Amino acid sequence: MTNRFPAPDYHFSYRKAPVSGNTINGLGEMSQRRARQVFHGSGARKLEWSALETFFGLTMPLQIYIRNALNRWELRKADGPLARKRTPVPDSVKMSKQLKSIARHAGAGAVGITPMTEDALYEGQTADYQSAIVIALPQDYETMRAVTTVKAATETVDTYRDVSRIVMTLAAHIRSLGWRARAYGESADLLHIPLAINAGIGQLGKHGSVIGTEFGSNFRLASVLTDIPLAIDSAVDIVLMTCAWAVNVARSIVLQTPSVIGSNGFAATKNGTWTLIAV
Amino acid sequence: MSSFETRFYCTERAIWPRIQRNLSLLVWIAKVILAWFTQGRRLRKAGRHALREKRVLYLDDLIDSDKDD
Repeated sequence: MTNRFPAPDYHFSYRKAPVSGNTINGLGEMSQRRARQVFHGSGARKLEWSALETFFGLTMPLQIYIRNALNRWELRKADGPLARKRTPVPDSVKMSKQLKSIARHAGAGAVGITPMTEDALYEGQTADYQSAIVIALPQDYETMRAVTTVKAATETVDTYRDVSRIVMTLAAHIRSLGWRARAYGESADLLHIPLAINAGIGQLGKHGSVIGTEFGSNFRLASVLTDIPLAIDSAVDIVLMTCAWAVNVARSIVLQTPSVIGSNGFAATKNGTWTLIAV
Repeated sequence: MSSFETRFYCTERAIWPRIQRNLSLLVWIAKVILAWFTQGRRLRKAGRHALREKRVLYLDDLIDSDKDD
């Protein structure tokens, strides 16, 4: 498989460029406000960059386009009627474990639970749910190494479909217990990233996406919003984890062979002490 | 405008609202797929020509941004 990267000069452009995403989402503003959809919108607002989104959508290969359409058809089951009788939940920890087990059994790579907060909603949206169950599903690493190929794009869309199926299964199970639950997949009214960070799936990277504890950034997210009582997970600090790991490695290097640079290139010894040179 | 969730998520127990939802979703998906064969064909062709002739394709000339789907 050969990667064919696009030329740095695009063959498409705007005569009059729309307002930038940074401006749309308040770069430099001093007061906090909710996010506005910029790209891959749910349809809730007219996007400034809709022509570009249309162009990308309609010039993608048919097999990917059809998969997206099928995903939309499947997402009709993301919400539904509740069971008439509500099952009481005396132990939220046990229920959390049970739901995580169902999610993992359905294929989830990582599962986290967090309170539903307003910053996970786009401007103008409402979702009065207590908590969010966030699912991360990894993409096939080898396939994604060939990104820019149709095969890699297909893997991305298939992962979106698969993670949507997992959250729909989970939401349907919760509704069968008599509790409200709504699944959200891609291009939703919901921002999965703040929820994923709060749920301990990973940490916000400089690239604007989540760096996960298990899969790096090679995964797709989906969420279930629900009212069922659940135990909440904590956010994680990967930098802290990485530093602790690096310190341990550096110490072991010092103990074994003084004045050596670690095989990962981040640790060195100097006069019998160790120094982190990069993390 | 309304989002996909607002338009196509249905919590009602009755069958008829769900059938209505399914029908409207099918129509929406059919329009989306039709767009790939019609508007998409024009865009792909224009894109190929622009690439071949090494000129810039201006999206605002080809796509009406004010049109709702």
